[in-house]
Amino acid sequence: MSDTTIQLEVFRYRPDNGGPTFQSYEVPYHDDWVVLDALNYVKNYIDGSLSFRWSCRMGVCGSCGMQVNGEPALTCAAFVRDHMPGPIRVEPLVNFPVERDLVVDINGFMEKLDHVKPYLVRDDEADDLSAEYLQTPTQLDRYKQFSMCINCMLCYAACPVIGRVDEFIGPAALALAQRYNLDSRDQGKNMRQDVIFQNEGIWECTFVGECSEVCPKHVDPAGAIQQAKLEGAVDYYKRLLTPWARRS
Amino acid sequence: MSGRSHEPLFWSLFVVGSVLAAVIVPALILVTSVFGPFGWRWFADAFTHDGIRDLLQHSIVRLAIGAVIALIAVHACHRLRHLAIDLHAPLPAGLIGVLAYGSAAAVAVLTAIFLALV
Amino acid sequence: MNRPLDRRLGWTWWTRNGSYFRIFLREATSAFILAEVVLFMLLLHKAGQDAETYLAYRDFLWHPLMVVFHLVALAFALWHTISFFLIAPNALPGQVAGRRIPAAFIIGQQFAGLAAVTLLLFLWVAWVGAT
Repeated sequence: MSDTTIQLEVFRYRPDNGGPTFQSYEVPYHDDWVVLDALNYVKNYIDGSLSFRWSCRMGVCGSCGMQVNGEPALTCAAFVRDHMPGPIRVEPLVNFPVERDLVVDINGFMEKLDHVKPYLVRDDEADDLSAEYLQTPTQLDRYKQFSMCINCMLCYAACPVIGRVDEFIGPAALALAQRYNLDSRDQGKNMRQDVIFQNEGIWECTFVGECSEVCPKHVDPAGAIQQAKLEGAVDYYKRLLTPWARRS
Repeated sequence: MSGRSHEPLFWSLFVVGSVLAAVIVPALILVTSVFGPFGWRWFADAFTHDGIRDLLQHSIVRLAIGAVIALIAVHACHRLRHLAIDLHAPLPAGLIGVLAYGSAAAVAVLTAIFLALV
Repeated sequence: MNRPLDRRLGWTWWTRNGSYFRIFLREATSAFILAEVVLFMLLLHKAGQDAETYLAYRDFLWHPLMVVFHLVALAFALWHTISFFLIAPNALPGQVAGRRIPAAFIIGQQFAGLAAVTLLLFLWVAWVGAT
């Protein structure tokens, strides 16, 4: 056990106990601790009433995203040593409704994910479930970057447009739409574009780019959205110039 | 949800205007408003009354300037519109749009008229 | 009772940190670009009138205080140029005809284009001024 300690200032909110407050905890400092380790120390040894989500501790599950000193981060990847001498302020992700302490309501996000059909859509799916759909490395390379998303929602906390328009589909879901639209095995592009080419789809985005800055998986949702805008513009003029063409 | 957006119309003009603004505006400012007053003779002489009329002599030049100015105006007004929206301007979004693209259209039309009268 | 707390970013989002503020400045470049475009439009207007009216406007445009404004506007215009060139590789499709184009190449091409257009404009105006 080391003698050095560090101060955690943790956002507390219990809907029945009035407004939000910050509570300070003194936790031991360890060189190899991440903020999530410090939170678990609080939960296990100081204050069992603190609520927060976490699971894998290795940047895969995407459930431990919080504001660490004001910036959205995975607490399992944010080292305490990078914030020495402290204090470290831990808050729930902004832009989301807070249920309790560091736990936010992610239902809105789950619905948005649903809108963009983030899975392979096939016209012939019912016919043969054992069918294989081959893909070349070049075809994989077109969308691979956008497929790394772990739905941690840091990008939603970083997006000022999400803060203004509740209906905005948002960075991660739009990047996933692009990921499947670029997949050579997918046939659902037209359905997805009906959703993402609305105002509340890509067109609310003003390319602030902070979503890509905070992404722990380097998905670059901002880039995905701009690429979709380019496609959307081409598609718009195509429809304008050939109104007689039937589209599904 | 509201059906497919008409934003691509404005956005595509914005992007073309962005490119033009990026490559032309710095040089435009330097040439028209910085080199002259800093006493660089060739550039001061290009903006005497005869000088600017020589610059604008060819109709192709006037046509190009008109198109470039119109597109850069659309670029700037589109961006100001979205900045106003992103700063939560307390005006109806439709009104902000009319003001923004109305201003861009005014700049475009006036520039065309002024170029025709040179 | 379940009363979730509202913690949306408000209109002051651009003051939260440096990278937001740089984006705000990028968007604000449009105000300076629009101002310079309008000043240039008026120069074209005066060019169509008699020499005296034109020169009065040109002297206003070249007044030292206005030159200070032009230099500030120039800084903003350059910020638009640089920020636009730097994000272009992200906004373009990752592949062209099945091949990845390196970001540095795209950025380099844009700056080469900027240099070419700027040089041509300088040469043209200087040539008209010198003859």
